[in-house]
Amino acid sequence: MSVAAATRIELRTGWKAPVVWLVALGATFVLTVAAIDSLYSTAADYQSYADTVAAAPAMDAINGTPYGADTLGGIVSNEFGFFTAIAVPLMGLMLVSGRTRKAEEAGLMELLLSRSIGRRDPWIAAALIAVVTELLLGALIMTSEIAYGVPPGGAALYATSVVGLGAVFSGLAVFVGQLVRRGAGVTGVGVLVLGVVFVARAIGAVHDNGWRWASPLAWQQETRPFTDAPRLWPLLLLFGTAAAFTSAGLYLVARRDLGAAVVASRHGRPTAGVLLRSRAGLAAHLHGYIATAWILGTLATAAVFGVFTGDIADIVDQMPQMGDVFGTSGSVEAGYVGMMIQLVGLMAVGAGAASVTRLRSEETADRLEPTLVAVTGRAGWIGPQFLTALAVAAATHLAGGLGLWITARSNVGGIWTGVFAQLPAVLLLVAIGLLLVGAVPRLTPLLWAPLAYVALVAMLGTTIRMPEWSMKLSPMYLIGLVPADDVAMGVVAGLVAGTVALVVAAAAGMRHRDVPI
Amino acid sequence: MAERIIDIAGLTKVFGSTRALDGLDLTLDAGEVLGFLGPNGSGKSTTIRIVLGLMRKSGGEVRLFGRDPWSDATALHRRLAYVPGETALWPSLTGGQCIDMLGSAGTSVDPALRAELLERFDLDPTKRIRDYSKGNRQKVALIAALATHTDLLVLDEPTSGLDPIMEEVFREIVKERAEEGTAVLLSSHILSEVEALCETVTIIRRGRVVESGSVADLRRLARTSIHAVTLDGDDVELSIDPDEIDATLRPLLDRGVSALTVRPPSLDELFLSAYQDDDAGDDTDDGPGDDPGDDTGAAGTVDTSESAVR
Repeated sequence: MSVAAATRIELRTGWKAPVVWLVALGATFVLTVAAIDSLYSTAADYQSYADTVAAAPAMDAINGTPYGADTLGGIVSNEFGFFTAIAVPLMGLMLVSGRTRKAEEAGLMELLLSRSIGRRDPWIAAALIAVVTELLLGALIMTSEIAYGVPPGGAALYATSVVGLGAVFSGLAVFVGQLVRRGAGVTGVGVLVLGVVFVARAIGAVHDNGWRWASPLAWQQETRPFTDAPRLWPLLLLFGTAAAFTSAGLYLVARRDLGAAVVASRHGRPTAGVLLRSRAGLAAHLHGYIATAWILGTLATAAVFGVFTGDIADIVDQMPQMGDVFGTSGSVEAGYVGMMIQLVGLMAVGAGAASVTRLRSEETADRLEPTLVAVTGRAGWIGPQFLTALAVAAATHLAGGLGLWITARSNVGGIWTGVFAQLPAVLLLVAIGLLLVGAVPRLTPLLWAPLAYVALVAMLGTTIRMPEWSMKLSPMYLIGLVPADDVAMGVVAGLVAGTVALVVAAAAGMRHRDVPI
Repeated sequence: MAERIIDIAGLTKVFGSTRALDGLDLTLDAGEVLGFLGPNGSGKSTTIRIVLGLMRKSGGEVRLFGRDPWSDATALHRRLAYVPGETALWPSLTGGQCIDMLGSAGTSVDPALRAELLERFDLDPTKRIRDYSKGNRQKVALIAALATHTDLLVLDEPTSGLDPIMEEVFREIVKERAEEGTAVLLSSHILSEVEALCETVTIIRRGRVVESGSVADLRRLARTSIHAVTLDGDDVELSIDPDEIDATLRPLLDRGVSALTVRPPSLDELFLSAYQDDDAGDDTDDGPGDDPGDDTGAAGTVDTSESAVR
């Protein structure tokens, strides 16, 4: 009864998030199915796809093991593998943390819990909303596959496995939500876990070993829905883990004070150090912890993925006929590294976008006003804050480049050329976020849209045969898969100019608008 | 005998190494309006959150409507409404939507009362929370609580951000509710508000009660201030005990008075001494209002001014 009330309230105050996730992921999936169905029509087409992926196991690092790649369903799961592995867990995580710990941190729970809403109810409601959203996504996946002629049994098993994957991360959010006090902390821990299990699946898939069993992302694929021997039992792993996390979280929430967490907040220093008193120091402090996590995480992930270039080199040695997987003029390894640099760039944009979000939240939490009144003018605040967001993105990107260079340099040359070629694209995407804050602050959450679009082009653009012009909207696509592609200095210069223009416009907007909005 | 609504005995609450509540006692009966005072960080909000079952006690006894507020929270909450000191509401909803949504989460809102309160608080319910000022946001929380028919109102510094006119409106409404028999636990820093509304007060410091009793009793111990200018040009200022009023005024009036100001007994001094007096904590904490004379006697102005009169 009170769960129903909590659910109603959570939907009323936050119905947009599930709708956006559902539409974005559902549409991308339907497009992928449609494109692959039109690309591959004969049995020979399917077989050639299966041969190609079998010949390039290093790609399994990104998409996981391509079971049943000689069927429409199998090809779709493989091509959609990266999105399944990143977007579905993020959806599960965000749908829960957004309306629970974040709301509690903002003080929204106090009034609700003083009514007839029980301590567990908001968490149960959030988990329910997340799971129902995941089920709707599953239904969409299943019906669109069946509509394109995928066997219903396989489609249903695949859709269920995707639902289970989302549920694992929704459950994780319920559990971690009891451990840390801040909403951003829940998302941070969740993304960290996602990074670790992504790497674990990559190692397991490339080397075909037991590492995969450490990863829910692999459990999802191990149902093998489009092979002759589909398996139901990995679903038990998925839903069992989801249930375990959720129950543990619900057990803890009923035993803790409102606003408290298992990891208590420590006493801070009574006075601000020299660093914190300077404007640049304040900016660095605000962005510090999250930025450090992004930088180290990206470095580690890139280093692991760099290792797989060795596997590619071995295969090319054995099968020189293995062709243009990446459709570039360069070698296969260089194409792979170029793609990894794009991936690193996407993580860097994510880090930059998180910083921009943080900057905006200073304003919505009414902290900006006193800061602005206290410092000698807005320019003094804008400069360091904007620079910090850009610097976080640049540092993350370069750290990822370093990770790749450490483990891949013996197999591929020109890694730093590729890293620096993509840097302007990264900064341009972060600058779009800054412009939103400066000019239309209430639309700041939209800064994730360019990132999602660029990721779509990078991971699925060619597969779903997006028109050339639409792919060229992505600055990373314009730069290409350097070092396999050549660097077009004109494009680089254009992106640099574009970034500068965006930052200047953002600063001008920030200087002239009301604070706070 | 009236129903005991809140019954707290020896309540303790520990946060890590901090002892926020240290053996606190407090009672509230049906129809009573209790002023709950204490300096910043003395444990008022923590006490309220424990009474509401939002936090768990570390030790002692807490009963709300005779039941355990932690384990029976949702059922007990049907009989009360709460206004927190810092009100967080959903920025994208309108004030009216917030009021109704809170109503849907438990005790329902009386539509007629809701309309009346919107009128009296002069609040536009169609504006979004993020566009309200702090005071107007506070009004939303107040209306959401006051528009319900409950046995208990828990108000934690409810008038922060309200202008003086709205503060007056708030007092009128709370008075009306109290007359209907609603018990009120009012945590406040505004002494005039407490004096105007409460029959009893409990003052705490560092998690323990330092003063407790009826406002009338406390008032009896407080002093009346008199400022008179006599016809022969004498300027007299003094503060006197209630039983000295007659003896003091008579000789003054006999001399003839051109100006006279009498300030009624104020609890300010009493409150302030309870707030500040650091050393007295040990001997006053367990005496529920029976011997507050030590504190009030501290104002040693009487003798000098009396000698000035004679």
